[in-house]
Amino acid sequence: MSTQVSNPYIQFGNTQACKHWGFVVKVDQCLGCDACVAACTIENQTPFWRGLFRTHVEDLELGEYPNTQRVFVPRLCMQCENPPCYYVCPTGATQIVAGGIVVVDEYKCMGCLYCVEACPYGARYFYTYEDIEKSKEYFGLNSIHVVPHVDKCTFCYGTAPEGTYTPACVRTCPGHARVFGCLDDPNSEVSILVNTGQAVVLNPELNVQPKVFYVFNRQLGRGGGGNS
Amino acid sequence: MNKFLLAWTIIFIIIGGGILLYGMSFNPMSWANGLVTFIEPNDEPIPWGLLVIGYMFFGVIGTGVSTYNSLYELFNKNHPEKNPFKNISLRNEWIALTVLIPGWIMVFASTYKPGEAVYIYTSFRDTSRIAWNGLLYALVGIGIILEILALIGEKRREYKDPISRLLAWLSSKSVLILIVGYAILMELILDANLGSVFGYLSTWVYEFGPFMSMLFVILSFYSGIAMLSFMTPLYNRFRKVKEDPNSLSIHEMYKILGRDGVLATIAVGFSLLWWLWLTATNQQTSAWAELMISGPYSVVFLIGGVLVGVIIPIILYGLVYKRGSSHMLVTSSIFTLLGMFSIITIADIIPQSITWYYSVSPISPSNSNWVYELRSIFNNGPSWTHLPFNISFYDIVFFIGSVLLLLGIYTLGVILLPLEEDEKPRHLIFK
Repeated sequence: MSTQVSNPYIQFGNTQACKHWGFVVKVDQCLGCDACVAACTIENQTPFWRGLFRTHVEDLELGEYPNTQRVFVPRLCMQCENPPCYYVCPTGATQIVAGGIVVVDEYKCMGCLYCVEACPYGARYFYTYEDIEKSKEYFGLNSIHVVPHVDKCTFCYGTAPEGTYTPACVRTCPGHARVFGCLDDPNSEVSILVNTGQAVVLNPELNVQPKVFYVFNRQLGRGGGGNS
Repeated sequence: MNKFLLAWTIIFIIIGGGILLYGMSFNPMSWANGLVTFIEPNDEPIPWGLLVIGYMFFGVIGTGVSTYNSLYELFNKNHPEKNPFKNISLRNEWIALTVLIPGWIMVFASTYKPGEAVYIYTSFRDTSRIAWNGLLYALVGIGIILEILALIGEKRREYKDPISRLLAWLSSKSVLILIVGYAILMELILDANLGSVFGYLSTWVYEFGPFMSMLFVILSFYSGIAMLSFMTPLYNRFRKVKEDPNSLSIHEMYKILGRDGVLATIAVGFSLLWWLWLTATNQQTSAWAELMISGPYSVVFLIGGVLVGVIIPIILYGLVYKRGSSHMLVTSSIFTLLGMFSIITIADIIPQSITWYYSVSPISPSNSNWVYELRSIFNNGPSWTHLPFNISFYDIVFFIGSVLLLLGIYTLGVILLPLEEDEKPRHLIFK
């Protein structure tokens, strides 16, 4: 399924450094500071003026007083191995490039929003014409979005030659809650966390095989709340 | 030429086309590339609104009219006198084609960059239901146009020019059967595919995948019969059609429409009951059944879908079958079409609610009980049970524009094409 795409922005740095990039979120180490969101916003010029981001941090309060806990859960595109967004895209705009990263060719996207509907993780949004104009106001000549399209996290794919880059959110995270690496390399931190069973995926029942994993060390849930 | 029809045609094409141009900000090229500001930003949880409902509604009606009409054409080929639609078969196919037109317009208008739809054909992705829609819509259009040409060809057999001979060949029994069979097959596949667009959302395929396909196939018969039940009595009154001694009487035709209407409506009613039963008796989907039974969409479902779309039509169609009344047939068809719109609306909203449900409550790591905790939290909150379903001004403009255009294009065919049994084509396919 791996293909070359026509968008020059995406094509930049398209080498074969790793066949399966992976990402681990250590939930306990997330401070909820949103530095990752800010870094991603600048790196990828997401439409923050509409409150839309490629990554965001969910601030969850679980349980009922006095057994309550507050948890920050960073969210981003899961870069599924079996991505529903790829299968439903009618124009071939959603593509899987080297490294198993799911990207959108903005020139081919017709904006039918089927991928937005199909994504079970709510990771996609539409970058409108107004957003393009607005991004030119904010980023001027450095504006990277050219035409309206569906936008999503790409692990910062194409922002630097592959094999040398680290996603902006990972570089910025002060709590080291985000780990990025090659799943094919058994010595990488992501591989160790995944292979030892410490890192797990969200909604495994969907069988979309995400490449973003979560580590939950604290005893979570059953905090006395809910109806279960 | 009928001056009233001519004036009607011109007025509706101008008004409908004008409204559509307004929707494109009077700049079709920019509109095709998503570069007009009239399109509202999309950050709503339900992005598929009136235009998606509209293209499903008109697409299914159009294919339904043609399938229903073509089945009578196909199975009565050796005994045309038994075909209740023998004299209006060509007109019915024209209705089918024109009803598809607003569907086509709304398909494109529902995307942000309609111009890029060309990639559906140049880089076809066979796993995408929308890509298949693009292909099947084209194949259905070809099928209906071929059927119209073949039926016109029956009237040009005495001419010897090459085009007339080609049309006459199309109307020969074996070729016509092939064309009609092809059209029926493509239409049924398109209906099933339209249903599966909703059926395969959010990777939640269990009930909705195959179920939606079957529901849409049934809905195509249900709505096709309703459309013909609406158009035929009105047209007969307008044209002051006289009885044809060589075919079934108009009264008999109405009774057949009433009978078929009852059967199709019962099938739709059973499907809706099955839908509720499936979702309500599954612990994971019971919340979605609540959306239809007691939630924010209960009025659309219970009043619009069940009462207006099933119970009333069954009674009225039943009375039509008994009495053959044209007034009652038109009334039952109006109820059915309103019910159809409600059912399509529900079919559009509910699977999206499921997507939204997953989007807001996705935390269920392996071997964890988080999923129950979070779902219980969200179940008690308004975040997914009261989805804002907004219809934008853009949606309304394109919906109204395409429907008005439909009224003009339909009568354009009445003026130009020999749709009636007694009308002959003099200039190729034209009157």
